[in-house]
Amino acid sequence: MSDVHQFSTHERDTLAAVLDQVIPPSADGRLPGAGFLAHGARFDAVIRLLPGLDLGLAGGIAACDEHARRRGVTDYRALSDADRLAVLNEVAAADPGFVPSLMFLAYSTYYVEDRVIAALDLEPRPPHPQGYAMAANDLTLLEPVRARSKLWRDA
Amino acid sequence: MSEETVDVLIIGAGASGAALAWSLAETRMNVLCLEQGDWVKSDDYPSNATDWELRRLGDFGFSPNDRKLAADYPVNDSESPIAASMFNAVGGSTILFAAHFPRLHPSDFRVRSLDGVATDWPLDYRYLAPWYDLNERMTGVSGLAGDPAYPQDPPKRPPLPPLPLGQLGETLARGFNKLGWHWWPSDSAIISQDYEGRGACINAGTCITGCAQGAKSSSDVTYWPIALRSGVKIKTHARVREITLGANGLADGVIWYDESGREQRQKAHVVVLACNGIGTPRLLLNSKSKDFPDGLANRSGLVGKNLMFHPYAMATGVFDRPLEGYKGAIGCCIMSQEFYETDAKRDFVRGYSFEILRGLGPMFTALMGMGWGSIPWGKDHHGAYAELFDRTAGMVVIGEDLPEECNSITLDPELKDANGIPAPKINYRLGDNSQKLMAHGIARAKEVLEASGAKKVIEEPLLRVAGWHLMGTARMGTDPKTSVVNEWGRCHDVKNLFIIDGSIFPTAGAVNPTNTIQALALHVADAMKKNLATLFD
Ligand SMILES: Cc1cc2nc3c(=O)[nH]c(=O)nc-3n(C[C@H](O)[C@H](O)[C@H](O)COP(=O)(O)OP(=O)(O)OC[C@H]3O[C@@H](n4cnc5c(N)ncnc54)[C@H](O)[C@@H]3O)c2cc1C
Ligand code: SF4
Repeated sequence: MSDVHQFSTHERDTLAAVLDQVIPPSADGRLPGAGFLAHGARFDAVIRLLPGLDLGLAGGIAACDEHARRRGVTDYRALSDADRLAVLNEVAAADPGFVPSLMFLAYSTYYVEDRVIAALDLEPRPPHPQGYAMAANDLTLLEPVRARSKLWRDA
Repeated sequence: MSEETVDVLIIGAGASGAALAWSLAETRMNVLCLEQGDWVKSDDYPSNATDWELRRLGDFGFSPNDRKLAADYPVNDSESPIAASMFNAVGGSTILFAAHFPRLHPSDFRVRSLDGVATDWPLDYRYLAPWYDLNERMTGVSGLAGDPAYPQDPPKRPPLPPLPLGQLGETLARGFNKLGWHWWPSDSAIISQDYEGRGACINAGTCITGCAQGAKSSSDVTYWPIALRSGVKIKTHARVREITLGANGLADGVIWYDESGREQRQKAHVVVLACNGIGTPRLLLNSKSKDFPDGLANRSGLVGKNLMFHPYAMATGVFDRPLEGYKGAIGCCIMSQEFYETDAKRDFVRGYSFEILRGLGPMFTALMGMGWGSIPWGKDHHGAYAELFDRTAGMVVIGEDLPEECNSITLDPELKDANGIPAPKINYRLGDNSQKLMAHGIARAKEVLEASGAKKVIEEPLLRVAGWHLMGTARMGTDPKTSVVNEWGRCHDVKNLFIIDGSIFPTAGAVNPTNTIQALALHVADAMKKNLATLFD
């Protein structure tokens, strides 16, 4: 596992800014942007799941910085929000694998976070041991099916 | 070197191995099971944490190639549109199974006689019915008697009432009713009430990453505890490399590797293979000798041939209201067998079942939505997500696959497991009949979802992940030229070698196989007990 790319603080900070473009905070402020994931432990677990995901992300982050410099700023984080989006689109056009990698990372880790689950109006708790209550069955729905003749074939 | 020769050595502690071990326990024979995996404890299951869905991508994934755990062996499935899906542990693949537990239909045993394709089974529904009954009692099956898709004589009476249909199930039931099509609450290997010391299902919805509650009837919580109390023994972390032959032409034991990779031997009077439809042919093909240069018990040349999956297609309906689909057993809701039997008006023979799935959890909603192109990144993300989350209902088409010799398990010339044992390779393509049948099924599934009120239906014509029903690779029959085992699971070529997993299915039917696999294992165990005195004649 030591062969997984080790992300520097700068790379993680840049990734956080990129992830905030992928899943931005919701307009009502209930759902956070996905940027916080770049510094979380789940990030380290998920980049091991797909071969090459680490290097794909590292390459894309470097490209974001490079494109930012072409716009006359020091790095991606120095861009305005609108320019961050524009640069991400430029990098995505040049490297078609980058955005799918970002989406996989963001989608798989964002929606297991307690604060995100709570904002979806679910209880942020494990399914076990409490489980969920469900209503009793309405088996009157089966009446038309019961009224049918046999469906199986004599053999 | 192991000192003791056991009476019966079972290889594999999954669904079939457990049922046979339990049945043989009463004989007081010395029964040992070697299993390459370990026990999975309640605390180990993902459902004990909020990020349980994430572990479906890791150590509780369906594919051994993704998990890469010590218990796993790699499977080369690069030349198959359907990937291998299994779990290696005490309980085998039932640790992950969705627990949908139907029976085959009477016609499934008479495919050649009725439809002129494939082959008949050497036994029939009526014969197997008492073994289904016993298995359903031992397993703890929830369901409802009276289904017009099954014979009422002998009757099918699940011991426990059905699981909750929930809002999602009732919504689809209304859709089926609108079309006048059959549906019925699923027969589920999940206990809807406390049963035999186990606590009832709590509708947690995590069944396919395992059930920490113990309500799902994986064989580690059904047959194995009783078998062990009755004196059967299991050795875990024991991976069998090959079955060895004695001078008399009978199997005399196995060579296996322990956890530290040391080679061991185990002698046995009877050897039973229960490694599933991929693991069993792999082991036979790896057991070559002067007498069996093409693999043990393979004089017919059929070991590994006639691999059948049930091809799965999926239609997902998107509704405009919440369905509470994250509640309840994920694969056990309702089933429809409207299109199960052959209809001469169609352009294919045999048929398929529909199985209604629940909805998706928060994380899989996002990932599936990404795959479908329905949840973009950027400013529209949250709106699109809200339109999908808890508003989907999945419906799978489970198609009958016909046996074809070109669909097979062989040994990969290069790929090996951690012990250096050659790994299996799947060679598979979807036959013409299956393609037509699946196309028919997905179109009908769309009709059901629309009749149920879905505003949009997403179609997936073939699910790659769904290689979880593994059948046909050491088929059962009366003629040694056209089958590998006889009607009670004994290899034609090696009289003290038995096979009891899905490999022995001559045909696949169009329902999930595990109830039938275990009923057959109980039948084989019974035949062994009845024929003890003349077992090797
Ligand atoms: C995700 C998923 C969902 C499923 N859903 C359903 C469902 O809803 N309904 C249904 O009927 N079926 C379902 N199935 C299939 C079901 O799990 C199998 O049909 C059933 O478990 C097969 O039983 P078996 O005894 O043949 O093999 P398994 O249960 O797979 O057991 C085989 C055992 O043999 C061991 N083994 C293999 N090779 C060796 C070796 N060389 N040495 C030692 N040990 C070895 C393995 O480790 C394993 O534990 C599902 C499976 C999966 C993976
Ligand atoms: S829904 Fe029931 S069977 Fe499935 S995991 Fe939850 S408690 Fe177990």
